[in-house]
Amino acid sequence: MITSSVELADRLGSIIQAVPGVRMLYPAAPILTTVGSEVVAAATATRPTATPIVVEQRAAQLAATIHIGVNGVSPAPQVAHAAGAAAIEFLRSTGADDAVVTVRIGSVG
Amino acid sequence: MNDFRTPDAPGDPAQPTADIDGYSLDELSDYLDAGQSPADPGIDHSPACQLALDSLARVRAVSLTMLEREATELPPIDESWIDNIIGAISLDVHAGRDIPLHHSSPSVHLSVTEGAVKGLVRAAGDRVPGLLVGRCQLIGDVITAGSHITLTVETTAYWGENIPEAVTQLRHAITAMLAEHTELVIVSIDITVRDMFLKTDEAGEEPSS
Repeated sequence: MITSSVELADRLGSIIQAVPGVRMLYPAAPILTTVGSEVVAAATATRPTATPIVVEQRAAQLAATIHIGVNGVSPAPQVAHAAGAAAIEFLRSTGADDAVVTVRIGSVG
Repeated sequence: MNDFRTPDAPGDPAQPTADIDGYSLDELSDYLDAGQSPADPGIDHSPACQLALDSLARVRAVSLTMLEREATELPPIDESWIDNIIGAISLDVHAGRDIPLHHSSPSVHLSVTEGAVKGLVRAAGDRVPGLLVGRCQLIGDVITAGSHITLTVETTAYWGENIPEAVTQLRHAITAMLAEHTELVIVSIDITVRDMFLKTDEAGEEPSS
């Protein structure tokens, strides 16, 4: 059972990285936000977010933001579709039936 | 026409061009010199830094050839074209606008960044001997699917190359690359050759003409 958004993001990160054509995950949050959260985590001895994927509750919906680099072997839209489908399938499997997923490709090749 | 640029879009005069996700071009150049070791996660996990490193490597390969030739055969060369291309790199690698990719579900939003698309244009340039891609711009409302977009590309040509032929090859390579990896409706690709430079082959022979 998944107990936190961090764990959810971790699991989702593993799923996305396994999608054929995905080369890497980039931080979905702005760099300063990411660094800031790691500083806070270090100062408070809490676990920083291990995955760059952001999973958050927006109104009544769970929203996942995923920033990826693709390898350029397969067409980028095809990889984005596969990543989006994998993310939606996973989130729905956790009970988030109305989850929203954003996949952004930051580099190709 | 509206200007749909985001605040960090290329060409925005307010954009600090030397800052690429917190790194200067000099820092990225040093990282390249060091063989990207020890690994810096801040650079390795930044698409903008990765695009900049790719572009710096391309320019470095060309300029090294020139410097070697200059040392042995040529009078000092005006290297302002290198500065122009490096300046273009810092402008072009930022993420810029998000260009949508179609998806039938309203629950899934897909996009590719403007910076990634410019990286594709530069990669297309690698397929064409005789030209080095400098600055490129996407003109039009790229954030609205189906909009008509004009692409402008500035290049430097090797002396002695058949420029019209090379430009045609570049146009074909860019068209193919963007058709494969984006859903942009490109109505025009305007390529300008801004500079020329001499190249030498490995044996140091005179450039062919």
